Amino acid sequence: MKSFKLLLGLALLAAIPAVASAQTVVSGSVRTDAGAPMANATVFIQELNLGTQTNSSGSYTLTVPSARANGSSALVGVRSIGYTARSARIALVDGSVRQDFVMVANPLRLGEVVITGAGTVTQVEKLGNVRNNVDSTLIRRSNETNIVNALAGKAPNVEVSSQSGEAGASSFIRIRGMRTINGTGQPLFVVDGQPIDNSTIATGPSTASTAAANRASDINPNDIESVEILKGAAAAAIYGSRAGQGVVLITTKSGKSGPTRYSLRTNVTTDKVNYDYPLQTTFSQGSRGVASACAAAGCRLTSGSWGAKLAAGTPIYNHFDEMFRTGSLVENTLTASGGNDRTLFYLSGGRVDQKGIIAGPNNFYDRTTLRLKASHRLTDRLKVGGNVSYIDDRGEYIQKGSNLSGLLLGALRTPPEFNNAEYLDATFGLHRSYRYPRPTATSQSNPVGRGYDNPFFIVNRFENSSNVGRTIGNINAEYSANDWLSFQYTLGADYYGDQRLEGLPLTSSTTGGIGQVLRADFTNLLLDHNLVATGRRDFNTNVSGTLTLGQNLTSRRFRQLFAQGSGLIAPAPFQLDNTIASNLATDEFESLIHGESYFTQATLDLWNQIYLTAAVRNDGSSTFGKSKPRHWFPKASAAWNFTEKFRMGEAIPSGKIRVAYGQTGQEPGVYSTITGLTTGAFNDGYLDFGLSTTQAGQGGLITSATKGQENLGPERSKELEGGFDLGLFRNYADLSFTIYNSKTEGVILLTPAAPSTGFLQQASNAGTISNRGVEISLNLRPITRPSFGWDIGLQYGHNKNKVDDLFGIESVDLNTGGYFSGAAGAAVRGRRVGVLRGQDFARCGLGVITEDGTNVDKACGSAAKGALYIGADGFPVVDPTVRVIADGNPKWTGNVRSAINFRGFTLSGLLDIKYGGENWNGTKGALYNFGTHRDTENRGSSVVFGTNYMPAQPGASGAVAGPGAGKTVTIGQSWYQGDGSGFGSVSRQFVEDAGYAKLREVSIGYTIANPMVVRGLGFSSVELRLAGRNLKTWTDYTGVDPETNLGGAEVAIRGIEYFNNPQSKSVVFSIGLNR
Amino acid sequence: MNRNIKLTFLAVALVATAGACKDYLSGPGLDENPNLATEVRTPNQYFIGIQAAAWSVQEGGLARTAGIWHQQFAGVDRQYSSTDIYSVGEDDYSSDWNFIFAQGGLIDIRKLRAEADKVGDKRYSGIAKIYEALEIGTAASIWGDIPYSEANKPEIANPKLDKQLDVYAALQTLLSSAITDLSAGVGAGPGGSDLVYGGNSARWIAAARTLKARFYMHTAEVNNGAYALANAEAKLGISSPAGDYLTFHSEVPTEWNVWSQFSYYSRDTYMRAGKALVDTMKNRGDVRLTSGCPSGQNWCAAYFDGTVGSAPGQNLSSASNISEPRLYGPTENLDFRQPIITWAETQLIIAETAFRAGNTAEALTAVNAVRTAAGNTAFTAVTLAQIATEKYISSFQNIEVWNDYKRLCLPKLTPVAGKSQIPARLVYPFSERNANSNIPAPSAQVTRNQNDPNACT
Repeated sequence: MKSFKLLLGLALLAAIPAVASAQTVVSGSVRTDAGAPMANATVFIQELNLGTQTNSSGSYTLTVPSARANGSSALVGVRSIGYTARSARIALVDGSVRQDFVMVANPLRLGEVVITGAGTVTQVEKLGNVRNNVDSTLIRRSNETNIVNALAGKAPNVEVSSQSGEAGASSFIRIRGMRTINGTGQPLFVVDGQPIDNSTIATGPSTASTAAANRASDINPNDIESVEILKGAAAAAIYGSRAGQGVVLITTKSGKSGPTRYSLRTNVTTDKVNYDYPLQTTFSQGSRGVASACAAAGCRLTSGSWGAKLAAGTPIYNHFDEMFRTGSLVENTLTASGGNDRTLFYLSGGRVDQKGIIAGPNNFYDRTTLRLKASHRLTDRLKVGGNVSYIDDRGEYIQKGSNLSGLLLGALRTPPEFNNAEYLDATFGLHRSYRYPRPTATSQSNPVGRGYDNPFFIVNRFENSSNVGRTIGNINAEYSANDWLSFQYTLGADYYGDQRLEGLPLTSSTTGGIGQVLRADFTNLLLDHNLVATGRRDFNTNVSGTLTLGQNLTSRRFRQLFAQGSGLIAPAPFQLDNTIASNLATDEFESLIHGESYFTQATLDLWNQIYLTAAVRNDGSSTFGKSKPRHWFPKASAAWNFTEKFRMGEAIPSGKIRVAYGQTGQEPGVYSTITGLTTGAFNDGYLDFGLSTTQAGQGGLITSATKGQENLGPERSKELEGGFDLGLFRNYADLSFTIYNSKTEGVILLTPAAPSTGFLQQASNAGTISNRGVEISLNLRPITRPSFGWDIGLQYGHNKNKVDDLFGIESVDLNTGGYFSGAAGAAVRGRRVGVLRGQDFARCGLGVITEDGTNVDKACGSAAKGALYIGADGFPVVDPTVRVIADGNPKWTGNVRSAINFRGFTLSGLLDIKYGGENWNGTKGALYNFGTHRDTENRGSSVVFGTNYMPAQPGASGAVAGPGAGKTVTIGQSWYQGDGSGFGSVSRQFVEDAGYAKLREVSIGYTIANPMVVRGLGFSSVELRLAGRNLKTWTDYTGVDPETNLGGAEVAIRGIEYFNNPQSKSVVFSIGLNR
Repeated sequence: MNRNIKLTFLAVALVATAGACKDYLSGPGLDENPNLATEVRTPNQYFIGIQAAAWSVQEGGLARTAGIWHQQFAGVDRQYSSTDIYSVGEDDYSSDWNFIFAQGGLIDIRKLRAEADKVGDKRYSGIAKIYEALEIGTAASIWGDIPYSEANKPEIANPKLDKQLDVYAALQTLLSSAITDLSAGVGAGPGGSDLVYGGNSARWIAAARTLKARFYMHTAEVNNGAYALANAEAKLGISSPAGDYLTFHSEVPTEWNVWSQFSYYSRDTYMRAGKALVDTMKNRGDVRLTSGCPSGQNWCAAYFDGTVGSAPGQNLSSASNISEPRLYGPTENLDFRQPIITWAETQLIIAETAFRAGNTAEALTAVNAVRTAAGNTAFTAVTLAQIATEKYISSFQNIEVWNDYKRLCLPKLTPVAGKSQIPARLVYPFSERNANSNIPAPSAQVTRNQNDPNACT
């Protein structure tokens, strides 16, 4: 019968012809073993395609039409998440039949249907790889409007980091470590069987510009029923060359037959910055202890705060705190769902109005989502459906990062006594900054920059917007040819247009004062055709199996168009026609990828305890080289529910061991196989212009230096995983353990070609990366009484990522942007992907020869390896060698979750832990240089390196050696603007441990289900909840947040802080009205 | 039965859908990159790129280095202080090498030749061959053995090094075939896309002859018979200054003379006048030193803005009054058309070869033709040193100054302090050694090329 359950996963619902006079009415109640009525349980007669749900008092009614009420017997089944399915055989006779059920808790969710991708499903106990499921309750509790953020702390080795607390900022997700150096390593997102776009596109360079959304955030989390995370190649192989970084399978909610249900959920959130920047409040703007003074309009003042001690009573300003406010978010989702035995529907409308945490009128994110998901059973065998959503996003963002017009760059560099809030000068009403406090009358008409823009000018006068319209939809059909063969078809499309504006006004410094209008349009269209046939056969009571055949066609089209006008004519509007025509620059890029794939999967169930699965996908992609246009991706797994054979009693009521092997791939970048002709300039690096390929006004073309690689194939991950899942102590606990070993071969990088061949480089499948790890989940349910339940979940994940080979090359910089000079993200042989490279102070035992020729090891004598070398002047000395200085990857990640249910109250919390992993705190380095960081208040003090002063140096011993060891020196402007500066050579001193423990969620909820109350209010239930999000972070990191990155999900490089916008913490009040 | 029909129908549908997509993975936008051209509208588009690449090489880092090492200039600041004392890195000339072979170099010259051959345009084919000879000849003169016979072959990832003299022999053949092509008078040629000669076959034939003469001179140190061959070719070579091969430049920044871009705009502190050239010109009273020649001929514009040269090893801070290169400098002569293959070179090849053959009259006539054209007085008698010095002056900013010195060791130049010789070759660029297994490590490379076994003493 298990094979029938499988079909259920595809089509839960039933078809009955019009009701005739004679019929069987089956009714009854469903209760838990503790006697409580169970609402929302699904009751079904599989053979008749009949189904319904229990009401709030646990009762149900199924009407069998007369044609079927012929006296034969049928099996009535009941299913509810978290309980073991039950069934009973009844006789279909004319009249009423009563059938009650008692459900036994099934915390391991055995028997539950699991979606395994590309139209395939299985059941929990048959799964050969670890399962990571996130259901709607957990998503709701996360209080996130971005589904990717909602996955933080939900599964071992699924790392999620949001770029910042800005409204609409992207969130980065990485599953079981980086397996490429060629992209950002984001998993494939699939919604209801249809792959959707989750790209993040920054308008400008990701080191500057503004935050941007990752496109999966267009999904309203309230519409999500559940998320399955396919980790690793063994699980994701069914998606072949698109699943190299795993797959996130999202299933949206569907209607259920019965009376139409309505729900209105309202979340009201207040957001606050969770940090205050340590700025010095003692010293004025100036240099060498002398305050700077502005003698006349147009004066240009020094950028540093190395002036005199501020006189007592001088007003000072908190330049960080004043840029932020209490943000708010109001989210409403109204849903109506229901249907009958033939037609089901789910209709939802959601609206998010978010006022960002950054001061000023230009920081918000609004999202409107609409979804209609419906299906209709045309005949007993054919069901057709559709699922359409429309999303409208409008957001305004703030310039950030390494950018003269970036918010915190100007703000945090400002001397304590300068009042940024007066961002327009009193005389002319023109933009003033601490480096240009008294603008001249003509400083806008004849534009000049302000050094760094006044942050209040930025938040009030800039306009950086993104407007997205998006439709994701599919039509689908399910056809049961007979009792053993069914077909499933989905044709989906995902289309969006994203219109961007970056409007920088006159006097904005990054434009040299002339202002700028940048328009960017991004258009994306994905089409997906998926046809699956599944046959199933019960050979005998001990042997059954399924065979699935599928075909998948995809088309992915992308286009971007940039138009940038420099030099505003009038101060407003931000419009290309209002810029100097001769400065207009445009850029265009488009791409199209087609994929054509076939797959087959066979499963074999033996003695109801051994489950074998084998599958293979054959992928063709237009990105593959012509010499080998198709590639195979096999997988195989076995699961043995050994407690079916060896009963372990109540200590281990259920146990499964499993082993799985699979291969997945990542497609090459589009057009890597094609050699083109280019335009450009010949420049040996010494020239500003060089000679262009256009001469005398005649356009020339030359062969591109990058040769198309006709043999290019996908990067291929081969992964073996094994583990066990145990139910323990009468299922009061369960334990899941998984170990995996993955090797990614053919990692694509640009390998050098001999110029005499006519080319300089070529993309090649040349690198190897390995990922090995362990994942453990332990769930405890100490109390499971109906009116009082307590559960605790613990998860641990460890992933060891290593670059094994790079075509013999030592190090390759990551090519997705987000670079920072002195802390470049790279793949380095023998290290992890994404380490930062830069310089350190000279240390003993590393064979360092300094710039002036000193042999450090010799001078160190017998000092320990790693001891800081101190030169004769008492200061450390720069090590000229570029080395790996930071590794942003954590040593392990974990989380602790707990929820207590007591008489309608639910108290829950989630603690998310990242142990290890380093960030480069470039903000601190820069603020040392400018003398605004609080640490620089020690200016003028006498210190001895190694005794009472040490540059930050995670992991180093603190020992010193060398000729100047023990010498007393003075720390001050010279040090902080020299080797002790973030602008000096030594980036390593600003690398800090960025491990953290975050209280992601804490909430208390109360569900009013008392019939008296709810009937009085006209609702079936009322849910109230008060929650906190990211209320507390424990960390040693001194920057804005250990979970920060200069770029968002558009870059692979992590752990860079350079005037990043901070994270936020939130308090959420939520009310849900259900009817 | 009914069931079977349905099944069959569905099976057929599945197969049909699959079959319909036979070409699903190819077509416009799929196996053609919509963002890059893969073919030219006209061969002229390759040719424009080829010319820009060639001038980037002839006016670029190789020419600056040749000029500094032979003391026409002095490197006085930053990286050029190192160049000044012969301290150059393996990667310093990678981009020049790249422009010769890739990126507008040999690969595109061969594409242009193929386009020309496809339509039987012999004129175009001949011109393209001359560019190939100029580029490859320049590379052979500097690096010696270079990849050529196996270069630009898709199936060969590691092109072997051909012996330098074999490369020169191949180039003589190539130039002869170019002359044959051009003489045929068949084909439209580049016309106005030829920014040097406007597609004029006669001019190109003359330039090819001079180039043949030049390459014979390159091999004469090891093959004395080459002098006579050079003399014969030179007599058929460029017959007047009007026939000079001059690069093309305009006032558009991306079309500025590369020397100007470097010395005037981008790196104005890096180079100054070289003491040897300044002093030589002062001693000879050469009018080109600061004022240019009276006829206003392009190739003899004023060299420097003053008469103080910098000796090798000097740097900017120790000699701030040294003269700056002038072709750009105060006159901002940004569209200066640099002479590459000239009538003067042709005449001085005749002079040297005639002198070596004992025909001093012919030598004197040729030298005086060059001297008087530049506004200098005629000699009454001539020596090899005078011929060499005349060429040294007229090869201002031309890589040929290096080849002449290697052969003649004249005029006498004193290497920078601590070095016994001016370098006779460059090590292979890193970009090639990094990816071509046939290139030896720098330490295993020869210090002198096959055509130049004898050091100057």
